[in-house]
This record gives sequence, structure tokens and C-alpha cells, in this order.
Amino acid sequence: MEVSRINNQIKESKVNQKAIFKVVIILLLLSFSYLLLLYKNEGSIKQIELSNITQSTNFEWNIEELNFNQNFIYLKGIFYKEGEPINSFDNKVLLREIKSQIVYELPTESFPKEAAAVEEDETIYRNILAVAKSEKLDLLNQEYEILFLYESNGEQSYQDTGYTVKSWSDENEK
Amino acid sequence: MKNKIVKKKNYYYLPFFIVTFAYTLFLLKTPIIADDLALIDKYVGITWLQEWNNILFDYFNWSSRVIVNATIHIFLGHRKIYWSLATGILILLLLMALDKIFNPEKDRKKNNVIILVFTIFPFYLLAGSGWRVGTISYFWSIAFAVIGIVPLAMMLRKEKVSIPLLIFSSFSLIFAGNFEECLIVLLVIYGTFFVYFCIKKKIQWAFLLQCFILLGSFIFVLTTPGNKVRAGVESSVRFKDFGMLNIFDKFDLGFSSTMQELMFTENTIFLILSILLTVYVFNNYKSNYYRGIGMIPLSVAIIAGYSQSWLMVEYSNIANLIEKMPVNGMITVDNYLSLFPYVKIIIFLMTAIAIIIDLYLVFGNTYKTILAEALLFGGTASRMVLGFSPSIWVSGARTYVFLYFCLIIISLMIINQIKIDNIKKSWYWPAIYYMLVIFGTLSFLNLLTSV
Repeated sequence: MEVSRINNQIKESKVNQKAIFKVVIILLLLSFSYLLLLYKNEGSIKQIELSNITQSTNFEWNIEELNFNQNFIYLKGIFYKEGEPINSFDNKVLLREIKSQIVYELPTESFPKEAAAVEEDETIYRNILAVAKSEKLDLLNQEYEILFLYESNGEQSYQDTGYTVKSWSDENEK
Repeated sequence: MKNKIVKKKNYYYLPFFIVTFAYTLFLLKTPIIADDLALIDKYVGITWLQEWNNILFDYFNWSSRVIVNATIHIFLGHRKIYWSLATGILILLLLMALDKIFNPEKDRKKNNVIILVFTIFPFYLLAGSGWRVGTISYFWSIAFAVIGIVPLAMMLRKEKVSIPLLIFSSFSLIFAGNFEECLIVLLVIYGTFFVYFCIKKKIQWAFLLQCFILLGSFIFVLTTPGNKVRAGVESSVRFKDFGMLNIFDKFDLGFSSTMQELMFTENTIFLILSILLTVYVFNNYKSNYYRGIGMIPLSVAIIAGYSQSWLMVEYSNIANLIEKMPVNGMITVDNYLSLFPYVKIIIFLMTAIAIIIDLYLVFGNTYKTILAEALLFGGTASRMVLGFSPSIWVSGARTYVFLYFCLIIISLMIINQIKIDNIKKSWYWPAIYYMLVIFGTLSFLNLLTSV
């Protein structure tokens, strides 16, 4: 018992407690920064210019689900280009505020239908999901047009759905 | 008396030979499957000129692993016995290199621990891409990497490194450095000790030579045109959303998938490491603060890893926390506003921080702490880098083997430290030995039944 106690004391006296404390603090700060970075990376809303991007009607699209409140929006739908291989793409859901004409790019993810994921067909249609929560949005008091941005191999074009957030909700609530 | 000592010395390496013999016999029994089966006809009877053309094709169209792939081609083109014998020799060399690095005093018990720890290594994972392709790519790289760092271990102990050993180990590093994941582990280890030797002002030319070899390998990997071509092909075939992920998404994908496999599955290697850390810290520290840190990895391994089915039944509302992570990374558009993914990452990070501190508590202010931390960071980075490859989900469990080997080596170091600090001859040394026998036997039996 005595040997054990002495052994513990020797070991504890050999480690630098201040260094451990500092390392723990630094690692905790780094961890917090990492979490913040991930949140910002996934959830940030960007303002973009549409003037250099051509409008197109070549896309297949549909809005399946839309929920919103003051500064939150959830939109799920389908967006793809008929016949185009989906090797490299970066599709986004956009909201254009009618009053100010400011265009917001929402955090968006494209993904295949679960059943389609294993299929070899490269042109299979894809789901699109956008979820945003930001003070920049005022969805209850302002009108926002819903647009889809398509980017493949460096070329961009967008589809105007003809819906606003409110008009789609009103139509589909009935 | 003198005869007895000589006899003991003669038989010192006998256990290594027995293990090598057993594994070589096993390799002879392995079937031709997966990539071996798909490629074997292509490489039977090819000429050296054809082989050279294959290397050039690989370089420009497929991969920077030209040395590893050329070795695979050669051994696929010849009878299985050559590959079995070559792998057997490498097992023996690996065991002897581990003995040289971690058992310079030639302690028989430590010699046995090296064997037990080796048997715990999940050898069966190498069969995923075919036995020959898998062992040459992964196991040979590991074996050559360990042989390669023998001079570094000797330099740290202020021993003289002979020229033949330096030449052999440097050639070994060239092979090991040809496999990107293995290269990352080596770069982290050598980078860390480069700083260490610079601070100590004891940098040696032999160490610099090895650093240049690894740096050369790194530049070769980065500049090989085939890697980019392959990534492009695999992106469209294996991971269609890969092009949508930015650098932070890929970092998250690599980090979270690695931690998920270690901490949120029934992972034996992580469990062994966690048990060893807890046992050491509890027996050598009285402070509740240190003991708390020592308990974190084991608590996570038991609760999040081994008790998942119980958690699902008793605490079904937190099923989101336990289930598989999304394919595109832990934080996605779908879940970034919910709490669970962040809680999960916090568990990953807190456990990782606890392990970092625990390793310092075990090895104290010695170069062993630096080596253990370098192995931890290097091993983790070797798997995390898969986040930047579209083949992350396709390559399966074998992408973890470098990390697993690093964790096994850290475990070996902790066991040695437990033995050194076990002044009071306590119960836990035999208990740990018994635990290793159990896990080693299970692992070896599992390997035997895989053929």
C-alpha cells in the first residue's frame, strides 16, 4: 500500500500539470472553433448576382415539400437536366426577394432517390434539399421567388419556378 | 551456466519463427478472390518490358503506387508460394523490428507481448481486395514502415546505426512511402521528430536522409498525374455527390467516419487501447481529475460502442446519436440545425482530447510521449485523408488498417510502460497479459476460419 502511494506521488509529480491544463484549454478552443466552422460551412446563406447567369427552362423540377416561418425555410424537391450525366454538378436553391431583388443562395444538398442510388443509369433524376435559418430572411413579411441554380462543368444557368414561397404554400395548402 | 545463457539467447527468436511459420502456412491456404481473381490472368507470363509499360500506364492513368503495384503484378504473375514465403519473411522482419524498437533489453515477456499484439492485428481485413493485392498493398507497407523507423528508434536511444541497416531501412521507407496512407503516418512521425531533434540540436545525417526519402515520396504522390485521373473516374462511379463537397465537408467526412468506426462500433482495438489507458491512469494517479480523463475513452467504447443494442431499447429517443452517420459527412444540410450531430462530434472530440492527455500521463516527459502522439495523429490522419477520396465508402474496413496498426503499437508501448511502472507487482500485469491472450487467440481463430 505504501509502495503504491509513493509510486502514485512520483508519477503525479513528474507530469507538468500546468502544461496539461493549457493543452486542454487549447484543444477545447480548437474543438469549439471546429464545430462553429462546420455550422457556418453548412448553414451560411450567400448573396449572389444573377445578372451573369442565363435563365433556362430546360430543367425538370418539382417542389414536393415547403415549410417556413419568420427566418427559417425547408424546401424539398426534384431538380435535374434531362439526359445530362450527373458526374459533376453543384445545384442550389435560390430565393429572390421581390422588393430588393437581392438573391440568396440557400444551403443545398442534392442526392439520389434511395432506390436509384444503386442503379447504373447516369441520368436518373435527383432530389434537392435546402434548409436555411438566417436573420437575413424575413419570410413572413417579404415575398421571395423560388429559383433553382444549376452548375455543371463550370457552366451556370437557373430555372425560375414561377412560385414565391407564399404562393406555393397557399396553393398547396388548399 | 554459460551454456544455459547461450541456449536462452538462441531460443529468444523461436516464438517469432513459430508465428511466422503459422502465418505462412495460413497464407498458403488462402483462396484466390476479389482483385486477385480479376487480375491474375493479366500478369501471368508478362515480360519485363510489358511490366515497365504497366508501371507507366499506372503512373499516367491510375495511381502513384507504382512500386507497390509493380510488386503486386510480379507476385500475381508467379506461383502463390513465392508470395506466401515473401510475406512470411516480412512477418518475421516486422516482429524483429518491433523487438528492436520496443524491446532493446531483450525481455522475454515483452517478446511474447509483441507476438500477442501482432496476432490482434485484423489480418483478415486484407482479404477485402484479394489476399495478394491486400497483403502487398497494406501489410507489406506496414512491415517496411516499421523496418524503416528502426534507425530512428536507435537514434532516440543514442545507439549507433550501422550503414547496412540504414541502407536497408531507407529502401524499406521507399516502399512504405509509396502507399499514401502509410506515407502520411511516416511524415507525421518524421516531421515531429525533425522538430524534436532540431530543438535538442541533435539532428543526424542518417535521419535527414530518411526525411528526404519521405519528402521525395510525398512530392511524387502529389505530382503523379494518375491520381487525379483516377479520382475523376471514381468520383462519377463511386461517390456521385463528391463533387459537391467542399474542403470542410471532406474534412468532416474523413474525421467523423474515422471516429464513428472507432468509438461508435464494437471495435476491439479501440477497446484494448481504452482498457490499457484506464488501467494505467487508475493505478498510477490518485487525482480524480486525471482518473476522470483516464475513464473517458473506455466509457465511450463500452457505452457508445458495445452497448448500442441496450441503448436503443432503454433510451430509444437518442437513437439518432447512435445510428450510422450520413454519407456526405456528419453535418449536412439535412441535419445542421439539429443538436445530435454536434453532440456526436463533441463526444468524438472529447474522447480524442482525453486520449491525447492520457498518453502524456502514461509516458510523461519522455520521447515516448512524442512517439505515441505522433502515432495517434499520424494513424488518424491516414484514415481521415480518405475523406478527400471518392473511394472512402467503397474501400471499406481495410482503409483503417494503418490506424489500427498505430493504435496497436501505442497499446504495445503502454503495456511496456505498465510493466516498467508495476513496481508493486500488482494483479493488473497478469490480467492484461491474459486479456491479450484472449483477444489474440480470437483474432487468430477468426483469421483461420476465414479461408
